[in-house]
Amino acid sequence: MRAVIRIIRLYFIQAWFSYRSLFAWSTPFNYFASKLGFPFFSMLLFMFMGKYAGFTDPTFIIIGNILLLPALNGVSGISQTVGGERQFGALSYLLASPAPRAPLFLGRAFFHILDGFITLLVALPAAVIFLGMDVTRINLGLVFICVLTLCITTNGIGFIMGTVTLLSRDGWMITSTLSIAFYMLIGVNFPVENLPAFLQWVAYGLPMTRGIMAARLALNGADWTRIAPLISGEILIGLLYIMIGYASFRFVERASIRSGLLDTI
Amino acid sequence: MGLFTRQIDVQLRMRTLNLYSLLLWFIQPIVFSAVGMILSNAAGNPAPDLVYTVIGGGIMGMWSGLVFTSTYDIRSDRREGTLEIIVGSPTSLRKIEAIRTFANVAAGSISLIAAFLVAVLIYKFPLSQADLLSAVISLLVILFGLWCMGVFLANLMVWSRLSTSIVEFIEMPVALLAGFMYPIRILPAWMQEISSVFPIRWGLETLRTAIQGPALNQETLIKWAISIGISLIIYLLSRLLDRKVHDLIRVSGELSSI
Amino acid sequence: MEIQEGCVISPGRVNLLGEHVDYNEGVVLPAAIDRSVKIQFTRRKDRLVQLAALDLDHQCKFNLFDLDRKVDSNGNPLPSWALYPAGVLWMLQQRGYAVSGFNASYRSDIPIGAGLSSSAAVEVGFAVVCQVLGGWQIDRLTLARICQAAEINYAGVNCGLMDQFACASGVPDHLLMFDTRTYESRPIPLPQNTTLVIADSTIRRSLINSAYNDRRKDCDTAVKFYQTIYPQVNSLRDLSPAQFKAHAHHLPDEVWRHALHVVEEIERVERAIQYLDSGDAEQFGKLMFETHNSLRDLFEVSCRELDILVDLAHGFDGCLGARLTGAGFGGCTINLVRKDRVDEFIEFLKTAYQRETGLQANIFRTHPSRGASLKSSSAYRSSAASIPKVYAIDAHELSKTFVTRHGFWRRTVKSTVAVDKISFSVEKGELFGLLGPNGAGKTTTVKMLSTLLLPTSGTISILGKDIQRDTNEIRRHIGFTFGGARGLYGRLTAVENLRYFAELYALPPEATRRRIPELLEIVGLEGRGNDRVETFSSGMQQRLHLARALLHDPDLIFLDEPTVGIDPVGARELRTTIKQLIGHGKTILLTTHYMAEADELCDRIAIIKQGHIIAMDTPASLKKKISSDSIIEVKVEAANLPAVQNTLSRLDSLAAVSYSENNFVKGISITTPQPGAVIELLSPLLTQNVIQNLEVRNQTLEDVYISLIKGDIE
Repeated sequence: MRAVIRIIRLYFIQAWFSYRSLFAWSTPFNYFASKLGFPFFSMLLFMFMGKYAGFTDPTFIIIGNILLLPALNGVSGISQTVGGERQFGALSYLLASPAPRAPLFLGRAFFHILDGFITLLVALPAAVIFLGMDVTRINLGLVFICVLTLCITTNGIGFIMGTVTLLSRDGWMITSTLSIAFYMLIGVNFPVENLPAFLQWVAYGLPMTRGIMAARLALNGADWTRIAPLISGEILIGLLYIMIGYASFRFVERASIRSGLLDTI
Repeated sequence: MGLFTRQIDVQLRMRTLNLYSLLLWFIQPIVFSAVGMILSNAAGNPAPDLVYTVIGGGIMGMWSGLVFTSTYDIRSDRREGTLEIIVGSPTSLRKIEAIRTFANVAAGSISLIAAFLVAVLIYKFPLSQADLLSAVISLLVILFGLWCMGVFLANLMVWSRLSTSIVEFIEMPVALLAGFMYPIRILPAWMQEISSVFPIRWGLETLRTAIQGPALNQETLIKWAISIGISLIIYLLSRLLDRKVHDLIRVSGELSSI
Repeated sequence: MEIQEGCVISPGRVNLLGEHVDYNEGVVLPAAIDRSVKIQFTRRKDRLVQLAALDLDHQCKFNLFDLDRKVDSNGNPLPSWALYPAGVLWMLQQRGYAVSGFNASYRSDIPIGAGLSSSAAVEVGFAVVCQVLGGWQIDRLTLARICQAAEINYAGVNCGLMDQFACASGVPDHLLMFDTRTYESRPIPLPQNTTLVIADSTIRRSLINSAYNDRRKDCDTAVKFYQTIYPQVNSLRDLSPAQFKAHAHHLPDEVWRHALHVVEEIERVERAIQYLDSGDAEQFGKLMFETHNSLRDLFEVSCRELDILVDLAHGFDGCLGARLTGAGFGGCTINLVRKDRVDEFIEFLKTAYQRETGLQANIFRTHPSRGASLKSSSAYRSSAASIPKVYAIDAHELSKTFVTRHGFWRRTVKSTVAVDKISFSVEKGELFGLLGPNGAGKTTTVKMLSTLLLPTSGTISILGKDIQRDTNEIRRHIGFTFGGARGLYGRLTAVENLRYFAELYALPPEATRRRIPELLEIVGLEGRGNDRVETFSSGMQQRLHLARALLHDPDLIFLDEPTVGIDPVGARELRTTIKQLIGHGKTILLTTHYMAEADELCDRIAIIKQGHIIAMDTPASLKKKISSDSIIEVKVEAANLPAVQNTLSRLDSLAAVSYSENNFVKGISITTPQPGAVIELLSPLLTQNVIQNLEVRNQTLEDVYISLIKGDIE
């Protein structure tokens, strides 16, 4: 029991401090800039791209971009946190500590997820109010479940990218560029079916694809039986990615002890 | 001259040619071009508009690369403690920023060139009717505009480590407003007004006209003049800013803070 | 207030009785005379010493760091006359006394080579100059011994201690009784109504040194012989004339005669002191004549001219005694003359000597005088009044306040005063140290001085230029390094880094090509120039920082903790480099946490605490702030503590005792002005193993620093 409490404690302490350290110097301006800047303006960009292509209703693009928010948050949050620790030399101390690894590692994502979740809860009504999105048929409870699921399953991708950040001092560059690919792959701006066949395979192999589909359905008033397969698929894929992320983190950690990788910043 | 070549050399090796800008120059165009094409396809168009999707993607990559390197340069110098040494040397930071931005812009243009090649070689974009002279001049006008904006941004970056977030507010809006991926007329009228202040908007318009046919007319000349004029104003602003920034950072002590 | 310039007078000496006994542990009777060396000196802020021997019309300039090599600042061997002052500076440094750079010119009215110790006067005079400039205290006997050691070891001249001691310790109107065995001394008044007259025969012989060494050897031979008979004999002082004569026939003829003079001379001095104490000038004078005869017949160091002078004096009524003085074979005679007949005597001796020898003797009266001393001094340089001084750094009422904002929604503005109205100036060529705890404002100060931060208020002038107006001009002439690994491009090689920064300082390409290998060698990175900087150890990076700061050959260099993170060997090498830079006339402002480093390097130190300068002085003067007491550290097992405490209780007011706890061993720290007395008290305990360890040390700069920072002293 005490061990469990200790792990939970460690998880939240890790979570809070890693979040704080990333935004320690933050001002409201900075906070909203990072929240709104890139995601909001890229959503607008895609909306205008859709308009130029001939779509008159931007709802699909708006919903997709909003549902992507927690993922962007988690991925950049985790890789920036790990990258920052690496840069300032704190990572060696962390890795040399006897603390259990899982809460240590998973904790890094918690507040980014929470942050993303809240952002989402704010962004959806905002889209309804300001962009005139039609939500008359919404199944609110199911939307909530979908959003929560998405927030958790994005962790897996975040951890894998965090591990990439560990591997190389430029890792964060790779991860943040690769996250641009989300705009194309997981059904954010257009349905996955519009992708070429091989990219559809890739899309279904990623977390979030099913979750976003499910959320879209729930917004349109679908019931549980229609989205249940999508949600369970999403959870399975998400857990798989979390396990891969954790395993690769342990692997890199051991490799770094052998090779002294982490010392070269 | 020695300063120029040495600075370019160090800049390219240390900063510009890093993984991230390379990714930005290539991944970003690919993603944006692909989204543009798939959207066009999904909307039932027979063929995408290559000027806006492919070449627009290239310009997108170039712009993001420039914004990123300008930020990254100063952030790294601040973090590595070299910013202090540069500021403490008799060579003015403005000169160094000018040279660095030149290197960044010049290297970033490979993104645009790559996009051109993709459009021509893969999508068989017809260049037969293109007005090459006007296209090249337009390109130079765009590069000059980018350079002036880059110098301005760099000055902003030196000012304070917090200004990094300004960039978050600049990269996408500029891309949005300057009409990289679609013609300006798509935008609401008030947005079109704002887009006039970006020099690259005017250069892009003439570039697109030149790619599609003869463009060396009065309208093009006026657009070039506007673009160059605005670029110069931005450059002058950054010179004014430079003075101020040099004093401000020495008051705040933010030269070495991380 | 620190003395900036002054004049030191250092007298010659004459020995009245006890000739050639000073290296046989005998008692001598010298007096400092009123002929002297006058040294005018001015403090320099660099480590150079520039000397002008006005009598010789020679000049010489050398670096205090180059004394080991006996070369001047151009690398040429020091001229022989300069070996005497240079030797003293060298010896003082060897003994750990702070020696600062200075300019000095000197002139002497002591006849050279006349046996009146003109060289000892120069040595002692310069030792006093160093003492005045260094601000340290030293007793006269130690001072004399340092000068003697300098003459033996540096100038290469074998000598006894009498000359330096007399020059250093002279008392007006007194002779000095000086026991060369025990180093005891006491002044004895010159007999009333007598005056000393020195008659310089003007004869100079070059053989003095070899004859002197021969006679020293003969004395040693005699001692060795008598040791076989009287095992307790350590020197000729231990033999009575009777003991000596009983066995003298076993010795070679020459050795016997030479040694006999010494033995009898020692005994003669004993009698002489009795006569002097009873004021019997006549008897004392007779002994002087006896000594001369002995020197002439037994010791064989006289010459015809000296004999004539003494004979003439002997025949003059009113001359109580006369003899040759000094090593012999020429030089002077010393005459004890009745006061009322002095003028007649001088006149008589002059004419008679010229008649007999055809030579003009230089005859003059002399008074026993005070030993070497500071005649005049000034805390200000006289030149400062006429020429406005250009300081390397002149900071006035300098303040820096940082404004930081906290909080997410409600922004609270917090201002932190990092530097609060500090003023100081650093002269060109000076090595100035800035010490203080972390966060005291050292780096902020350095950054303001190096144009990287603008002061909130106050003015800074760097090399005579205003920091706000002439920023770029100043940047051309200053170099700076900040401690730590930051400030270099890790992915570039050392040479690439230097080339890059050379461009920033607009160095011409050919100068860059020449300078980079030079600098890499200076900082000890030759051969590593083409390695990436990220592969360098922190010490190597630190050295590369220094090379970078030196690229454009700046006049003023700021070194912010240059040895932090460097291993001891590397740190020492870096310190040597810093000294060399000062030797090349650079001005350096150094911050450091290592007190020994500051003590070793800095001319002056400012200690800064919470943005204020709480002390600023030379390291030596700072150390004086907490008294010149020694500290004796004693380690005792807990069980033995009461015994030691009991002993220590007898010390009374002699010492301050403090105890420190450890599990099994108790530490006792005794601060005392009389370490000798304390050790004497404790040494039985040491032999009985009650005390485990006993260590005596002087107060260090660290002691001062800690007391200052804690606020124990003002």
